[in-house]
Amino acid sequence: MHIPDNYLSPQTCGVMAAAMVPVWAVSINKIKKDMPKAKIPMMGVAAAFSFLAMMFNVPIPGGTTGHAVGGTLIAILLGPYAACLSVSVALLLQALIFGDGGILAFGANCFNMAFVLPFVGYAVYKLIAGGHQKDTREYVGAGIGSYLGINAAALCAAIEFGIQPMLFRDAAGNALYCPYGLNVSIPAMMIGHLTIFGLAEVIFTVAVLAFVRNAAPELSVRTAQAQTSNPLKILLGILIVATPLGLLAAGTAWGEWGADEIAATGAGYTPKGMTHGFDYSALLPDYSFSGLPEWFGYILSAAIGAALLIIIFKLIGYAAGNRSKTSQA
Amino acid sequence: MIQLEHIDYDYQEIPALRDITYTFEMGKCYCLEGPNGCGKSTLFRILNGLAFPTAGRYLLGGEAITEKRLRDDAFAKAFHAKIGYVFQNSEVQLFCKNVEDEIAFGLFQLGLPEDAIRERVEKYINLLNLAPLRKRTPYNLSGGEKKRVALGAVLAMDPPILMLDEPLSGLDEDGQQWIADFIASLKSTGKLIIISTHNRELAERLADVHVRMDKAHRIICPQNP
Amino acid sequence: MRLNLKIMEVTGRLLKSDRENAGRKSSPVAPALRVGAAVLCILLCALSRNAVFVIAVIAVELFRLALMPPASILRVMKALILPVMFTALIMLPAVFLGHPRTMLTVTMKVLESVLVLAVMNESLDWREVTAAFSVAKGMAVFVLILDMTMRFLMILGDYSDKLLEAVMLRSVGKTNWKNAKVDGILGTTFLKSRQMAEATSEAMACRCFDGQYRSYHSHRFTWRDALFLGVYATMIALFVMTK
Repeated sequence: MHIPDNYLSPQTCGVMAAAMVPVWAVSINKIKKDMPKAKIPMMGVAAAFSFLAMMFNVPIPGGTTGHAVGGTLIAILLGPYAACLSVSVALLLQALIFGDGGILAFGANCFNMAFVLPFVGYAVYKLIAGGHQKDTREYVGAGIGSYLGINAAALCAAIEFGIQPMLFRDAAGNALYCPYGLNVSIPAMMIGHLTIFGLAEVIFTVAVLAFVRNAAPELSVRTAQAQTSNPLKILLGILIVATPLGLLAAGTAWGEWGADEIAATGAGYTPKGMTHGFDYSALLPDYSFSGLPEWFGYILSAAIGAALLIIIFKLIGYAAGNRSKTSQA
Repeated sequence: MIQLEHIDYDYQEIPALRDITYTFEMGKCYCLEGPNGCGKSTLFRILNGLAFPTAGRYLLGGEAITEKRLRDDAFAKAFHAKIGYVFQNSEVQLFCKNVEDEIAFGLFQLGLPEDAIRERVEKYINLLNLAPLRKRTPYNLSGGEKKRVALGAVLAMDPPILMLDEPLSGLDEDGQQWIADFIASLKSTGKLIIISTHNRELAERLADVHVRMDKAHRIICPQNP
Repeated sequence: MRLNLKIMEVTGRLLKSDRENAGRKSSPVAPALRVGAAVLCILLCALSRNAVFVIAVIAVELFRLALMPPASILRVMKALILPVMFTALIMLPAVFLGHPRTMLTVTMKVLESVLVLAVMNESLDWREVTAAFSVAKGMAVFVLILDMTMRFLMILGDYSDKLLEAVMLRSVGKTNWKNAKVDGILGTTFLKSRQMAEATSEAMACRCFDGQYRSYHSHRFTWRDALFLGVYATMIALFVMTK
């Protein structure tokens, strides 16, 4: 569910990041109040844990695997606010250092996986389990909560994808970012999550929760105290309802700008490159080359060619070197 | 000077310390000996203000150390600055991203001027042979190296009291030798040193006073006055 | 099939980067400037509607990559393959749905953004990347949380890896990894992580922690930094020119 860069428009990413700011602020305040001692290491360790949880593949009957996000589990064990922050930290490091999920899409990824997922999951869990612990009712609550949580997150991601082609197109009508509308993106995202990934998340959440409850019962009382407060429920509701609307509003504004821009550049556009054998424009004729001399294109292609050659030779040399090393050993 | 008066401590209703009355004096080296589970580590936790006795009083330099007083940040900071505590497990004690940051961490908290911090960090890096490791992440070091970093990080703050929980555990022979020699060299600095150890040899070599605890969680030797 | 392969890869990479970077000099240009440049670059590429800009970025990054040691090149290439192939595959049907060029533009931009970040991470240590956030005032605690996360990632990654190994060793004969007790491994890892967090907070209290978290090696603004600002200017100029 990690959205890479350039699947979503930067504008969408900006709106999603802005939506996350109040959520982060509320979470930080909550954490400061509820977890005064040990809060910094606890955040770090929870983030590392959610990072790890995302890497564990859970086996599923039938021989396939799916990876879980674990947001609901962390919300149950540490409270939804801690889950929000720790999943956000994990996502930031994944985007920045491990190349998993985009930098610009960080806000959108956080919205889906650090906000919608744990809060929906936790709310459903609380609704079903109430104050119960270590019994069937709690596990059923955790199972249903995690299932709905991951699916709500997937739905948000699908909507974010699906509105892209409506809002961002170039002059030729080609989508600039994700090209699939809601009619494609929702089924594509949901089929996987309603089945395999949803199931993985349920198995993962219930199994680990049961283990922790049995192995360390003394943790349970302390960690299950956090409640979803009413103001946050309202904020959650408003955000979930308003964000797509906000996106549409912001998007049309940007879309108009895009149309003007396209009208302006369209006039100066000439597919000269075709006749000169330099065929970026043949490849990507929607791109305008106005204002740039053609020699710039030649320099670019020469540079890429040279760099690729060096890379290939270095890699060949490296592989050969390694092989001789192992054969000697 | 540390005074303990009739300290009891229960952990989840299981007794961990019973009627500990003892006085540790400045400038001496105490070795705390006793079987596993006799309460040595718990005693260290109480001495460092990480746990609070169920009954009894703990005085540091004549001042009572209580949970309530330690909630005052300024008091807590001054208190922790007086005691250097080297954990048994260095792994949890080292949390910075490299060795020099680890040693500088406490100095930044004390709010020393920049020059003084540089001077002290360099001094302890040299003293503990850490120069080749200074850019490494403490977590990836060997057990002996970690122990040296932990010692450096604690000593750099120059606390008048130093506590070492099982300083030799998990080290190889060379590492043990090095740490033992290093602790011996600290004895002349006038610090109050408290070491818990299973290692007889170390205790014989370093201790001015042997403090023995038994399975009933009491101090048996030397007898309390 | 080992389900912890990815964990081993991540922890392995962190450990290795630590050893390899131990003797390396720290970046002559402020890491914050370099991380900022990477983010700006990705942002401009996402906004750009002109292939020349994106291709120019790819060219420059490829050249930087070409100057790196082969092991680094290999790592960057590995990081590139999956997202680029995946994107191309995902975008393929769009060609038949009336967006013939979207596949090329999106795939190219994904290549660009992953390449920029991967090259940055080869030339910067992760410690420098997280420290980049400390330029903003009041971010000390945030940087501490980031660093703490990386540290626990190494520790917990190692730990869960060892647990998994223990499970494998105990299961005689055919290892049925499907029953390899993911719940137990992650559950134990969670309990361990709670203990470690508590112990670490105690260790911090013992060293008088009051919210300060600074790097001992502090970077001062030099002429190199000033020069590096030229990179920003060039990027923006090229972006405007190709618009």
